[in-house]
Amino acid sequence: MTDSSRTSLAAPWKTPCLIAGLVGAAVCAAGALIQPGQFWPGYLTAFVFWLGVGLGSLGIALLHRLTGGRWGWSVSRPLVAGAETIPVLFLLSLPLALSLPTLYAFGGDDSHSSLNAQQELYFLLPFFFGRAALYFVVWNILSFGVSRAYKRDREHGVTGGGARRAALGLIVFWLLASFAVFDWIMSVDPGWYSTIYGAQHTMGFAVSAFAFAIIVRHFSGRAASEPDARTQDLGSMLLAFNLLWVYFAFSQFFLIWSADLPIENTWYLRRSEGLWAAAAPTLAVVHFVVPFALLLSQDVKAHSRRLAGVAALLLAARLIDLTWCIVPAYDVAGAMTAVYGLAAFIALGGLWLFVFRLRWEKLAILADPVMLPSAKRDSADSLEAV
Amino acid sequence: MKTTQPTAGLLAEFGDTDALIAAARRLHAEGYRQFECYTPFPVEGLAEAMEFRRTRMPLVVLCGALLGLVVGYGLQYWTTVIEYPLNIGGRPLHSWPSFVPVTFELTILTAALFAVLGMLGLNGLPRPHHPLFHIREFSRASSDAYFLWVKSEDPQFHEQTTREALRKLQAQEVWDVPSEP
Repeated sequence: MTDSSRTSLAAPWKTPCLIAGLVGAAVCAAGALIQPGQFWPGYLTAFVFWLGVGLGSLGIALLHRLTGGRWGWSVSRPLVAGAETIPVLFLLSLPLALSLPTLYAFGGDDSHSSLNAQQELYFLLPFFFGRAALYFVVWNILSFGVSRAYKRDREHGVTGGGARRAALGLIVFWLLASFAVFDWIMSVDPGWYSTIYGAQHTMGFAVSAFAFAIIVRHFSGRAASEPDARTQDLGSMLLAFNLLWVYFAFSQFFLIWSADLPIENTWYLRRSEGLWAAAAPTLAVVHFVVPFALLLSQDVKAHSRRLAGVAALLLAARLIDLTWCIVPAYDVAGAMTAVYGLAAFIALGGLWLFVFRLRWEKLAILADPVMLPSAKRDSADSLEAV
Repeated sequence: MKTTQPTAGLLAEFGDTDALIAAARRLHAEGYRQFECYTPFPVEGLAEAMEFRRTRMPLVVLCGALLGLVVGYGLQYWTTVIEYPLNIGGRPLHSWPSFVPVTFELTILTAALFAVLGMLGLNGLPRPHHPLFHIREFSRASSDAYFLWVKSEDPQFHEQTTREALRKLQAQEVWDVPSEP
């Protein structure tokens, strides 16, 4: 008994997503065979982008279970559906096992000259793969917990509960996400490290996920066309998530700039050569100044359509940031990396969105709080799901 | 003589928040603009019923923030580049990244100060006395009663018709508000 008026809005997604995903996957397969050096940096970037949307959804769903609050109920459905995509993200990560010799200093058979002794130990392949497996197992357990709690809330017409477990889950989630960032993204520059890097990218994941959830809420037709307080709350939360990312990103730059040590500053110097020189100023504008200024205004953040526009800008900014963090580490990366990166972005995005859509529909069947006998006016209001 | 005394409007007491909200909505629909509501706690939906959506507060806070931004950055620029240039580790005198934290802090500080002072100023505070204080029952606005004051400045205000309108809206009691001497 799916609600046809609600599902029809987004129904045309599914098949195009699957087709785009499969076509993109074919291009990716060709790229991996013909030009692995150009291809894998693009694939890693695209993978981390979509991983961020899924993982960020899990993180915010846990956060909301801990804190409660009306802002979260209006996006809990896309967030939980996003968290439920973690198994498919695991599948999409598997091709990266082939990429290790290309992407990482520790992945090849040759001498690990650029790694020190501790790094050699940390990046021993069995340990590396074991950690990756652990991350996905734990994330899946957390995602299972979040989705079970959501369904229980739906069935019994209650909101919240399970805050204690969510708090524990959030700590574990944050630690593992940080380590995943160290393992998979920070390691593209062997020898460089920044302790805030994990927090920065985990926050970036949250920005991606929340922006995505806002867009889904807008297109699912549950948001009012008039300005409303709930949409404004979401806008304020998006502003807060993004500001925290800006804070982490600027702190890292500020500390490294202040110390100006060769072991650290090479990361930024490498990323300000050639065309990359335009990336950091672009990020300052599209990841900070413009969304910050727009989200200050009630005229923007209380309108679902305008807020969705800002969210789309932030998603684009996330992609620029991840590209800038990952691709400049590779000297061989060139114009074809952009082509393969785009193909991978479409492939992974198509497949991910296809699965997201399936999970989202599945949640819809449970969704209608008006049907719940115990739902009073207020709880029905707070159960507004997308 | 009470009848010849100039009036500052009518104060009405309502039994609950729903009645107050309904009255505010109705008065606004009838064209009243100069009226205020007084409740012991924030009542959700009341501001909307009064069509009280826009205030000048965001603009005041934004001005404060911009002032702090300019002053904070300008102070650092002036001291390190113009007034007392010092070579620190060979860095350029105008090292903008190190100016950011202080600029940020001052922006927030002045925005917060403008928010507090602007709120007081736009509310006409501090104000030691108010015509409503002449009505003894009004002190219950701080504990358990809901009041609505229609000011006499309102072009729609007419003592008889407004009183009847308030009665019709289930006001439990209506008082004349004496004007300040």
